[in-house]
Amino acid sequence: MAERFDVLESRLRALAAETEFPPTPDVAAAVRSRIAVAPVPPKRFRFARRPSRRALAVAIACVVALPAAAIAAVPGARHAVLDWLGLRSVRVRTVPALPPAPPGPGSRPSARPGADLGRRATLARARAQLPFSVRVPRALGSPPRVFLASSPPGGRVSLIYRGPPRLLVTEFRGSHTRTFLEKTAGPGTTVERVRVSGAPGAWLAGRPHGFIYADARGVIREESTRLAGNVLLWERGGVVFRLEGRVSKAAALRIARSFR
Amino acid sequence: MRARNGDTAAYERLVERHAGIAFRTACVLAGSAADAEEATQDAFVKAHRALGRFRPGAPWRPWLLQIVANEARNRRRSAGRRVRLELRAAEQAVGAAGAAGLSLAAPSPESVVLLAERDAGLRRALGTLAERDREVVYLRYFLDLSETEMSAVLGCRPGTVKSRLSRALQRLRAAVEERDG
Repeated sequence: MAERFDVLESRLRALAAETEFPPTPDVAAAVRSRIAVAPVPPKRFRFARRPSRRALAVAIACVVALPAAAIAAVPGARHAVLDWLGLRSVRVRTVPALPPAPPGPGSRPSARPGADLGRRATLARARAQLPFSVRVPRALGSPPRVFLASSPPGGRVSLIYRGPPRLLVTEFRGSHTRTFLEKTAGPGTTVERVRVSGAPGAWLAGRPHGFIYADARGVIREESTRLAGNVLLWERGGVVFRLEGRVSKAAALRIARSFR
Repeated sequence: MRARNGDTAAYERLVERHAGIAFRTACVLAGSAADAEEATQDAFVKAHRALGRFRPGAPWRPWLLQIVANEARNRRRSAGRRVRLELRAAEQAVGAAGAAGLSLAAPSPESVVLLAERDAGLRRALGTLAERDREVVYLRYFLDLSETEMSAVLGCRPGTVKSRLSRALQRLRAAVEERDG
């Protein structure tokens, strides 16, 4: 698919955020000594308006951008991350799609603090609004709570089952970008490839986890842990399904297979 | 600002403030970090000598970067050589995030990273661009230079910067698409 310039531009910016130039050497000292040897007083030098607003803006931007840049660094350096986590080449699967992004202005996290699920909706409304077929697990019946979010592009629906077990199901569509889902797991977490009715998937079991991902515009985002529990991820027909909760693998797979 | 009439301390502060952007600009143009360092140093010394010619009130950065660019180009020793831009070390990044209190904290029990594999493709595509195109892309998106600064560095009119950038992006897009199939 042809990519528009603004998409290419945001990809370039995302790439730039992951890229590090060689560290700036201390040129000031060398310059100082060289100038001291041959001082050349300028005739009437004045600085352009002190540090200038631009410099100030740059400085502020640096401060603000620091944590984001730190996160942004992670996906690009995946081998190092995987090495560091002791789990090299655990590529869970290719998911041409994106986990949920933080809500935009106006949409309030509703399920609980930190859960950026979007706004409350009904299943019918979600089905009417989303460009993909929303599926629900027949094993669990109609979801008591439904949330609709506009990000990532293409929209996202979250279904919450109060349980027990309490479950969060998220569905969102893959984008045309070739994005990969990479798993990096720390101590106490296991990763296993699974099949959900023939569809490729992954079972992530262990402690609570967080998401770090690049959204469709190349913006690196982080999502805090939501429900503590295990996660089953799978993809079918360009839609990514994510089931999270305190469930066993067998139970998660059984639920996943019942999605209609 | 007391930086006038040869106030060396003031000039030193100026050097410190702009050393980063000067060095990175030199990196893009020079072809190696060592050449870039020399170029940056010489540029600051030359800029100091030339301060008398600096028009008061004019923006300093474009003026400085122009000198840096000249120095860097003069030092590009082999045409094919390109600076390798490293990825940020992941450990550092993870550690920094942890220090910042983010949930990406170092002993993070689990992190799921959605990796933009496409970025690797984009990086490769950038590598296939001609020097001239690559420079303009780096200056704009990696160094975030303004059009005025870019025109100073590239030695062209500000109006030409836009069209050069646009052509470079076209070729980059073509290269990306070729790779993405």
